[in-house]
Amino acid sequence: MNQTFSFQRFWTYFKYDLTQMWRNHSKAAILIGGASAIFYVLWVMFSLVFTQEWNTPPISARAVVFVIAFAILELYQVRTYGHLTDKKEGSAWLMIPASRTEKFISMLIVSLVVVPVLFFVVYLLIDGFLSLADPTYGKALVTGFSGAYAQFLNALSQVNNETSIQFTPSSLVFPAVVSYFCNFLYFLLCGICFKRNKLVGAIAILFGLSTVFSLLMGFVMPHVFENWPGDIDVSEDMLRGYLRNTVYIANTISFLIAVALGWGIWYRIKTLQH
Amino acid sequence: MIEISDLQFSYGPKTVLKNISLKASEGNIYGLLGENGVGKTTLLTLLCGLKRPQQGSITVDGRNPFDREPSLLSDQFYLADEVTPVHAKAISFAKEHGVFWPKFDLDKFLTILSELEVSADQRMDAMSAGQLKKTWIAFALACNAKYYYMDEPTNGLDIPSKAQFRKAVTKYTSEDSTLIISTHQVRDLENIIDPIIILDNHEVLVNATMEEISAKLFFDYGTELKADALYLEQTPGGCIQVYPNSTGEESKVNVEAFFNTVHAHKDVIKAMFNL
Repeated sequence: MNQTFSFQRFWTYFKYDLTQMWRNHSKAAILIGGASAIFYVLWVMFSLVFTQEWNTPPISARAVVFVIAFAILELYQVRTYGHLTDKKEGSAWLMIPASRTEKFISMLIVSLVVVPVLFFVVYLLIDGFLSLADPTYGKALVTGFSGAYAQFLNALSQVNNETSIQFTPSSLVFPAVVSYFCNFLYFLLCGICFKRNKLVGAIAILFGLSTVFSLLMGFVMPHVFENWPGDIDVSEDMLRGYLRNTVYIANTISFLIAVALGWGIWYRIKTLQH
Repeated sequence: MIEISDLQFSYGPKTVLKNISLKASEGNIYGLLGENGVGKTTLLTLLCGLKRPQQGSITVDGRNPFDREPSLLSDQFYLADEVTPVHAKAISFAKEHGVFWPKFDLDKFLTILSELEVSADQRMDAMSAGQLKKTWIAFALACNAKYYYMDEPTNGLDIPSKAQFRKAVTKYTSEDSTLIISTHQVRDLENIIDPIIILDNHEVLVNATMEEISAKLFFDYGTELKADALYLEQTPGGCIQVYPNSTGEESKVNVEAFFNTVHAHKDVIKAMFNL
């Protein structure tokens, strides 16, 4: 018997993991995914009460609600596997005959792929249904996304023409994807590390880290730029170089952070004791 | 075969287990006894791999439990004192969980559950503590594991259920299965546990079979008091006395009296059992 990874055992465990995920978190996922419907009902209700008119939320407000719902989904990652720190549930989970590698991979697939896809599907389906059911609601968000992407490509082309910095869509999409992984992995890791006050702990650490980095930058930047924080004398060539390097460094750092967070989750699973 | 060698475990500055060494052979139902806080649960969680030994080693058939290898995990079952209420019907829980244990038998689960008078269609998160415990017991026994670690399995069970538990354990575990059962309810289990391990602060006081205990100690249920009794307990209509067995005569071991004898005369008993 392979003690590290077996496809058959992994598939058995993955199906089990999905079942547990659905059983324990489907209500919350549907609630977050249904934020558009909740927002729609509240908007129409308040509009009827205060203006006696049937008004539906504008596309800008709907986009903001979508972003907020997605942010809540990110924060919710502290709960998806948060039960592992509970003595009873965590012990039962550790004693399931599957390897830690299989449990880790399943956890990543569920958290990074299944839960977000479920959210997108539920959210966009409900939004699309509202768009079909109420003509005053406007276009479905999913059609807005394709328009937004076309606008993004146009803007990118303009920047490339004006500054001669050749950004490709992938060079900007990559950091967005890695950043998404980082956020989900970070809250997932905090969920399986903190026994209590998981969300507060996760946010407190983020706050602490950003404070430390701000202080660090405040110390470093005056040594890089002479007139910092006043006017900085930077030539266009220098600016291009800085931008290229910044994107490259930011991508590399984000990727390394994502890998470190993934390793942290694996290590936590390996060393978890009850 | 379970082998523990010079095991040590502490919670911060408080040492719970120190230089613990013992062997548990296959096909026995070990009773793990000890006062509160001596480390019975800790020992069980170390044996099943929920904790890592800080010093010393544990091997189960030559494997380290803390590696949590699937082959060992599917050979064992840890039944915690407090079990988790799964958000599902008992039958669904058994079907979903059972697939990980190669020898899991769903029919056996349903039979044991029925004998324990719990409905398989009942949701586990709506069960009483006793029903929940019985469902987990039925599941554990249906896994047909080789090693069982049970922490206070009769806690929360009513009087008939304790008898049903004893019956289920003897009926539904195979002859080569090894069970280590930690309990304070010695009267609930004294008819099925053999050998007995008694833990004290940091050490194993006794690891002996009933036959060995009976060969070295005599349990007298008569009324005539003995001068060399190590332990004496008044009972309605008589008393229980425990004294060294100098005649070789056999007697029925009273586990509770034995436990109290051990605690009252640790050094004598350790010398007697060569520990």
